[in-house]
Amino acid sequence: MKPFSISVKELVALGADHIPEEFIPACHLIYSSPATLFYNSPGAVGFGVKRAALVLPESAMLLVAPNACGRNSTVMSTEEGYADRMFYLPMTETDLVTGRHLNRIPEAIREIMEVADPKPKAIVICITCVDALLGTDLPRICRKAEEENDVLVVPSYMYAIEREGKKPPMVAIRETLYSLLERPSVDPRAVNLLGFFSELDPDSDLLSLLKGAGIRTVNQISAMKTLDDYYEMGKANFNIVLHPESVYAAGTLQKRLGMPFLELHRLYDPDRIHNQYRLFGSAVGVTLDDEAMYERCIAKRDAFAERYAGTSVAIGEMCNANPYELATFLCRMGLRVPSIFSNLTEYDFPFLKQLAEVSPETRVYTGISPSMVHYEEEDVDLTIGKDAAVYCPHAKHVLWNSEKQPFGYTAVEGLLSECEEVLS
Amino acid sequence: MKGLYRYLSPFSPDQSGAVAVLYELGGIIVILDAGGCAGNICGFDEPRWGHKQSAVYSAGIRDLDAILGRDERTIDKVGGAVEAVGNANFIALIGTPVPAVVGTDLKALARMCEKKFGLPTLAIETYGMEYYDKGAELTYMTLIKALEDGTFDSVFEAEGLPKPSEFCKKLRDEPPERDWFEVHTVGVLGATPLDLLGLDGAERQRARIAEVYTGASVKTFGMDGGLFDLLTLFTADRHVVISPSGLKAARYLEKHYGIPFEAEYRIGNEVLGGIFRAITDIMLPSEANVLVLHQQMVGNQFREILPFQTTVGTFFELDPELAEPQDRKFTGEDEFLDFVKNGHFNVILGDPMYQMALKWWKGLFLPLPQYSVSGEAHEAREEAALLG
Repeated sequence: MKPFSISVKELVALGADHIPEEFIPACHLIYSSPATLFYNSPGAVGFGVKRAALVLPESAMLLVAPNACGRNSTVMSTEEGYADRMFYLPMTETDLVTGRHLNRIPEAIREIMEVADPKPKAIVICITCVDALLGTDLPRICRKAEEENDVLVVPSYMYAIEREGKKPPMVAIRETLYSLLERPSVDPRAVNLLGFFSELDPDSDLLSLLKGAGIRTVNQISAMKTLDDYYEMGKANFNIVLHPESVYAAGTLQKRLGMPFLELHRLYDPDRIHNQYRLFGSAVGVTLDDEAMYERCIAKRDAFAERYAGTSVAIGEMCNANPYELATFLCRMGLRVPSIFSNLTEYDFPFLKQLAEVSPETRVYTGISPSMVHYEEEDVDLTIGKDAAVYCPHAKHVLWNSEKQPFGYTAVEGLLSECEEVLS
Repeated sequence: MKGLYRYLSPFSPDQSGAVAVLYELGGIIVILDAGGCAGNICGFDEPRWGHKQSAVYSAGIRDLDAILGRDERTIDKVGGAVEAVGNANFIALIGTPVPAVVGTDLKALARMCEKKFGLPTLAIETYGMEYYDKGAELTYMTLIKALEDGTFDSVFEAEGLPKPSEFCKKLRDEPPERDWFEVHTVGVLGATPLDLLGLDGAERQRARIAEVYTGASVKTFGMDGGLFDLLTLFTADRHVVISPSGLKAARYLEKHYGIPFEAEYRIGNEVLGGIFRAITDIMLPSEANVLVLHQQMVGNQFREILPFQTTVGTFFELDPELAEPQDRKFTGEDEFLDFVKNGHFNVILGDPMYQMALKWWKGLFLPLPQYSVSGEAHEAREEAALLG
């Protein structure tokens, strides 16, 4: 038997309103492929809900949930260095019936304040699917806990059960992270970057271009060391959203604090990056002088294309790129992309249409399809993305999923350099 | 505060133990969750996941499915997977906190799947709130009962094998005469990666048992064995239980099939010798007061072999018949800490994760990783590599 796949040409012909059911998690069982961990589980890999919430400076987390919900933290918190900020209040079957676990939260916070070193200034309470179904009023519990303890208590939700809802877990946690901001004043020369839980690559041209345009302060929550630093983000003139899952949070800030926002996409085609910066500049009323950067990037691209045209590449979704946009870029350089392993939403269709023009036969596999149990390795020269490396283990690999977030021309140059390194 | 985990983090839950037993049996394993539980099981509790394929799926339950009890959607999804997989031996529905909170009738759901798809279907009623050994224990028993009641008859018959229900009935009605000293086949229960010392643990156990029972065929249940090997559960001359997760099944098989069992985890000389030397390098054997933090059979074996005063402590099951009076099952972190504080131990053997709770403790801590405690963080590919 063969795993489900569909060509880019066929997908475009179907259109965004008729995405095949294989791409829609609610329509079938979800295969536990490597990509599934990334895509379907809100707590499993990299920045899941728990680690993301701990980006709030000087915070600790109390996970109030069945034992099963916290299991991944055992490994992740040790490997990623946040174990001493995680606390657990496991639920029992009796708690499911009586809800008594909720009454124990204030006492648990008291004890955390006694033992935690350094003492946190905010405790994030995280509840999971069972409390979603029990209808737990967490904000009320947090208010009560806050009254009883001299510490901020912030509600957060790891509701995998609302994965396709209005506010999926990773959208909700982004909203939570900015929920403590107030707007005492406005600094016209400050902006916030919303989207990532780790810092933007300090070499990214976005940072230098913003500075060049007169922006003195570029805030990122992941760079904030203290809660007071974090509160400074409330003064930013506007927010720049770098990840679509932050649009909801940005919308909430716009509504609640009057902070406007605009979106920038992480792109790999230098021409599109150049155009995006131009549009950004005119929207904000500044000039971003990126000519030299653009020229350098084009030169790098052309040299790479000359040397590696014809190289076959499989692209996954566990990388710091939109796989469809990245595939288009690579194909335009003369490389071949026979397969993409990724999920698909309506937002991908603009990229997909462009890909169809240059590589209509590229096959798209979805890691969540039950039929992926039959996937057999395809012969490609290179993979980009952690999941693609698992599917095609004998190729050369560029994981391109570092936590230091690449963006702009430097991202393109960095990716091409890594590809050169493994291909040469 | 009782119940609060300040230093330690959650151990492998019951649903992971259930999947561990079923992983290599060629079934469609459906975790009845929203996505997170399946992610945890495959990504953090199943070391085979990266190199040995198994059809493990999340049911992808959403809020309205749970609230409205839309079980028919789950059944339809299972049907899609049956078609996609093509040659599954059975279906297993694994319970998680979500079906527990909405009161899903897993057994009814299993009956409906069985009727609709013509495949044996197991209902494993785990809740995600117990530890892995309870889930594994439940799954061993569910498999045994399913073999006895004819659930698997059609699958075995299609392979030209005897129907398990008739086979079991015959063995119960006319039990074969057994000679204690004639051991040709040995079954090993409690042999999932979550129970074992090192990922080569099942292989090591088979080899060591074969040395004791010369020439015997040794089958492990939980790792390195398929569905059709399960008939050996009823025909073995002896069972060896290497973790409490296999005890209930072994006792059942002893009672109903007359198969004797022994509870013993055979640890390699490299590990035993390494630990012996590490302790005696700094103290006399008579001075050592050792606490072994692991699953009970591993702890018992250290006590049996090494000449030290030894106590077994565990967060997992502790069978009273196999325990010494000083041994302890911990119900929480606070109880564990009190036990260590008051125990006057000067040596602790345990998973390195326990050290996070024992920073204040002065003594010799020897690492003995346990996958169900720290997962891949301290994973040992080979038993011999346990001591680093």
